[in-house]
Amino acid sequence: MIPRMTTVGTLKNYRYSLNRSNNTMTKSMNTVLTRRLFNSYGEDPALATRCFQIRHSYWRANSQLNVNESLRHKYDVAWEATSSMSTDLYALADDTAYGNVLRSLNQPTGPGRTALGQSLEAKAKDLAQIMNSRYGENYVFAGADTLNAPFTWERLKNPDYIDPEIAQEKLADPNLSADERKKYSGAFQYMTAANTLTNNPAEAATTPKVNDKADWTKPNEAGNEYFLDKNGNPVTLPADALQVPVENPDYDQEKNAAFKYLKADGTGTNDKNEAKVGLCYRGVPVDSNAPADVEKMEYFLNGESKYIDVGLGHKEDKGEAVSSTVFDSALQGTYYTGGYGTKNGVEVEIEDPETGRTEKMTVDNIPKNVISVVYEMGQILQRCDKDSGAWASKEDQFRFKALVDEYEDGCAAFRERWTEMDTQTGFLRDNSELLTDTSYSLQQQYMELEDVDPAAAISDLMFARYCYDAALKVGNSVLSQSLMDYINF
Amino acid sequence: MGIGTFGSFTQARLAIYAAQTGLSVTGNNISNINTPGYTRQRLDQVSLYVNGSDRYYAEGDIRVGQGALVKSLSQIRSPYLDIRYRTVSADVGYTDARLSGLDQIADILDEVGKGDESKGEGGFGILGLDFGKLAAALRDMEDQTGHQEYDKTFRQIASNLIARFNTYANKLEEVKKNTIAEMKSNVRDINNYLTSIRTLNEEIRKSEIHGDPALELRDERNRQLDALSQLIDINVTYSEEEIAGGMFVEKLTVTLDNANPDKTVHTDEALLIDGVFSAQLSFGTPMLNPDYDPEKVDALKQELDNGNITQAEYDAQYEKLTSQYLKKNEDGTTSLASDIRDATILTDGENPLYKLMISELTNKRGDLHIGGSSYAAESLLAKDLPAGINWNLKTNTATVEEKDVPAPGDTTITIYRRQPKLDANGNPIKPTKDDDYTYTKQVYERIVTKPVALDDNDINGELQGNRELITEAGEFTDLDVIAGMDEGAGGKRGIPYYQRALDLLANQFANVLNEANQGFLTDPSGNYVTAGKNDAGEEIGVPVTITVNGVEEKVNKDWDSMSAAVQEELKNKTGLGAPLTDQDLKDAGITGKDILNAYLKGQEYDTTEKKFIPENREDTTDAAGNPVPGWGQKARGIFTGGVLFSNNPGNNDPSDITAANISISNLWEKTNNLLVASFTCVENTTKPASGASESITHMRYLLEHQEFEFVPTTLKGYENASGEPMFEGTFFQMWNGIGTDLGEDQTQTSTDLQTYYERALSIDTDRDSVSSVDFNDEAMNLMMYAKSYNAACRLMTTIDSVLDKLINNTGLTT
Repeated sequence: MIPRMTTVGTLKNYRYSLNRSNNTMTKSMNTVLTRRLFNSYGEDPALATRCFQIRHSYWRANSQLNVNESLRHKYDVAWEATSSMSTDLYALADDTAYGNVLRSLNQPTGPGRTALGQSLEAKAKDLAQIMNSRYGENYVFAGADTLNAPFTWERLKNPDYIDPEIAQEKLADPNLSADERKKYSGAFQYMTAANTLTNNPAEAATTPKVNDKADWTKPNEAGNEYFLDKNGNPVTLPADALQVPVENPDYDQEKNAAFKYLKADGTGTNDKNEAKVGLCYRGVPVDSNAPADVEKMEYFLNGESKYIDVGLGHKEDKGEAVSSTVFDSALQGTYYTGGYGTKNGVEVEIEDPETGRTEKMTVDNIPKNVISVVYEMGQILQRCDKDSGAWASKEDQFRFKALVDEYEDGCAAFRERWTEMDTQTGFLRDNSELLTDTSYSLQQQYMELEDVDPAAAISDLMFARYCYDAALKVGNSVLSQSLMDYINF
Repeated sequence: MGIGTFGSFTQARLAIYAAQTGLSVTGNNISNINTPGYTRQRLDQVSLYVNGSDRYYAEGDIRVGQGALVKSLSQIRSPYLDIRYRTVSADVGYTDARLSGLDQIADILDEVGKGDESKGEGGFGILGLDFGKLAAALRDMEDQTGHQEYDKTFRQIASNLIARFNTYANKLEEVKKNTIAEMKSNVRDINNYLTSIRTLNEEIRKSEIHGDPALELRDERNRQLDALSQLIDINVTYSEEEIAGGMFVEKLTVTLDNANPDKTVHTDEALLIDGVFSAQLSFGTPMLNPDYDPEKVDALKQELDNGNITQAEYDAQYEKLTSQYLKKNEDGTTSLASDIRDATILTDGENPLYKLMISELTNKRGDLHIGGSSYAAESLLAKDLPAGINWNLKTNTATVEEKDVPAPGDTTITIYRRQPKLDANGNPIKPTKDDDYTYTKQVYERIVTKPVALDDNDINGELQGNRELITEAGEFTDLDVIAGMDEGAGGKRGIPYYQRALDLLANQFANVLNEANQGFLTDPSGNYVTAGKNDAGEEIGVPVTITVNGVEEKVNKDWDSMSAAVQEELKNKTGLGAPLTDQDLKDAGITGKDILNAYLKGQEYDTTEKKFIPENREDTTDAAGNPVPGWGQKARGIFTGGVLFSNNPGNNDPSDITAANISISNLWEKTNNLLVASFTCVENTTKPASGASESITHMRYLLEHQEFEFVPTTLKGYENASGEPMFEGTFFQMWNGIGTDLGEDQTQTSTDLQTYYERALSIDTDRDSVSSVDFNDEAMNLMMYAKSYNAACRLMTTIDSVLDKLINNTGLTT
């Protein structure tokens, strides 16, 4: 049956079609106005989801680029610092450490060595200062301890010092091993009358001071009396002798465990101001071989890291970053300055220019860190005779020679590490370019997905407008003609 | 007999009358062309033919009709199209309501095109972008660790993110409230329509009795049925109702349209209107008896028959198994109820699924509707007759009437009939005993209308669309609801789904970051440290140890790296040793990390409370006011960090965080640098390096890269939902996933709506093609009736002229 199209039905259909036409036009208009292919998830869920993901990646890439740029600047500062250090370490200029070291080796006369010593000590402090460079508010060569200056000159503590209270506490333990007992007993210098331990000479039992310079093989000769009086004169009777505290046999004079600090000559003191000054890295004496200090230094150098995400595909394993997927930005000052600790048993040979004879000596505690080396060279030179420039001792002379050798080794190591830093800086530079490209690429991707082709969008709008106008015109004539208009009675 | 001399005048008069009435009907159609629901009317006219036999039949006697008689007015309407329209109209109503709700949700959660373009954020995302900003802030902190301004920046961005969560949650709640109001309005409208249609039925009935077809009232009724069909799916049937001896009037019946896909359910065919009786819809659900299970009755009977239970036990158990409902007593107890009218109806908060009930049908005066059912007659033997039956000897029938059967208020009438048996010749024998008869029985029931509790899927239409928006929680749906009510509920997403998905995201986000920002310090090897002294008396970090077989063993954060003996001792020290087994710990969800944590805190597991005590770090007081020491005093390790997010800005309680309550914790608000940069101390110290940042790196990894399982049961109150993850991915992906779900729902619903709407329009056009007024048609009718009128007048003139000739001029000569 042919459907009967009625006036009411036609109107309803027209109204619906006109509405759709208007809808289409409005949508086309929105597309042109927002320049976006979709304006809600509902219009194209899959595309919207993808665009959000790409934009999220774009944001991340930009953030990684920002951090990468910050790191680049940090490495620029590090590079500048090491450049400056390299000039000091091996440039042949008068005002460089290298220049000073060379000159000090050339048998200077008069007060030359002392002056060079002062200059080298100052240079050592300069070098430490260079390694304390900052980028922004962060110390560049402080490893992960970026808020604190890494290199400091501090009064050195005695690594063997044992706190008397701790020692007493330990000694009270009946299960303490013999070795441990000897160790903790060694925290006290004296014995009391009650056979207890003390560091207070006033509490200690006393005994006549023995004449330690006497020749016991000739007891009857003057000067070989058994005791010494308060003036240091030998006396025979204990009653005339100087009464001195009874020493603890377990006390080790080399360790000086009763003293918090050590003086430059190796003796102990509890006065901080008398203590020897030395270079410290993050509070740990650079030239210390004490196990606790070495453990810390070892951790700084090999265990510590400060990871930054610069877009290497950060991954974790058991809650910890996989090192190859992040950038370790911890620059350890000791790594660039030759390390930490000291060398023992260094064989040194010196040829006497006058006799032509070669003398040998084995020296200990030669610092590995180049700043310490320069510092100690300065100290030795300052100890030279101010008039003749002669070495204060033969040991100083040999020691200085050992330090020069170590200095050269330190410079070679520094050069190597400086090159390494160049590689890292290059990596950050390349990564910056890569991240910039990634950012552009992601931007391009989401724009391609989201943004309308203006020509197509405007054409669509024009066509939708044309259709709508046509629909309006049709509307004008939908009911214009019917049989009613032709009836004529 | 032929037509009388003046009969022709009658012919003309009837023709004029018919044409004039036709013009009136046409005029009425033209006048109502814009009246909503108007059905075009048609004049029904017949040729008047007086049917009779002449006493004497004469050959050649031609019988001519006596003119046109206007018989009635009728509407042109197709009930079939009405049914189709009303079915699809419910679909339109359902999808329209649903799409409208989803659009409102999208206004809140859809971030396409939202954002600040001026800040180079591209106008694309707000909350989603905040996740990116948070990660970027952490990345900056990795580089600039220890500087307070970066910590503050992070806190500010986190605060913004939280504000978005709070705002979105509040707005979703607002949409939910509005939708509830709209749904209640739907119910009010439905009830108004039901009452109004009942009233119209009454009026039409009255008019019909008086011979008036009441076409305009029918139009109005159809209009209201159309409107009702958009709100709720209905099935409309028409039948004849005998009102007096031989007089029938039309009766309109409206029922629900069988929307429930479960064919065993019949509540979805419940009666809404039956003639002059109508029901009302309301929110409520009868209190159900959890023990109701009539299928177990046979087994129970068996138990009784086997002598395993006593009759009294059987009776009690039988009542439990067969009583579907419960009634709440005044003293708070409940008693069994087998009739829904006796059940307690749960409403408001006790009816969270907004279940519906249909009331009893009543007429205008409040009389209850009584429906009848009759069953086919069945044969029976004499021995099966009830005892003491009282036969009417004249009619050989006996009637047994049972009140309150099958339910209180109902009546069951059983009519027994008997006939003497026939002999071999087919003649009735003379009965002398009961067995000489054949018997039949026929049952009639008079059922009083009762309320009907609707199942979850019993309706369709706008009301159901709104209901599902308010109640459907998708993957958060209780498994009991899926099993017992709606198998497809797990895939239906309404406002609760989006609320809970947002809650789950906020909850997981807060929990993950809170956990990442709290812990005990370790040395670089992962051994937990505590404060100790070295030989020099300086404070240093020393390992946390546990004594195993007289040896001090270090406690490491990697549970698996420790020996079995150490692990066992750690369990013993935390109250998790024997008799508890590894399986017990696994069942309780206790991991090695939990045991380590408890050991370091000095906690012990309370198997009754199923938690580690003391719970709090700080000292507290119990309900009785007694002091309860916190674990802060007993901790073996050095605890650092704290809760970043809490469930209230005034506290540090990280439990049950939702999108609506997530807040910056009181602790974080007051503490600078609460964000833990590192848990790893430098060797022999109790402090991490000032710029150490591995915890920040880890936290950023969690924010950006870590894929989590988002499990609905994590949320409080949804423990009985599916334990399967609803999503696996990063926080941002989860957020994007919510948008995708919403987008997909919108697209699907929009397509459905378009389809249903076009189908409805097509059917409506079909209806219009039958029922609506058309100018061309009416113009034709105008011409037709005008010409008829003219012709009738001409006929009158002709007859007058002819009769004038006959009367005045016949036989006269001039």
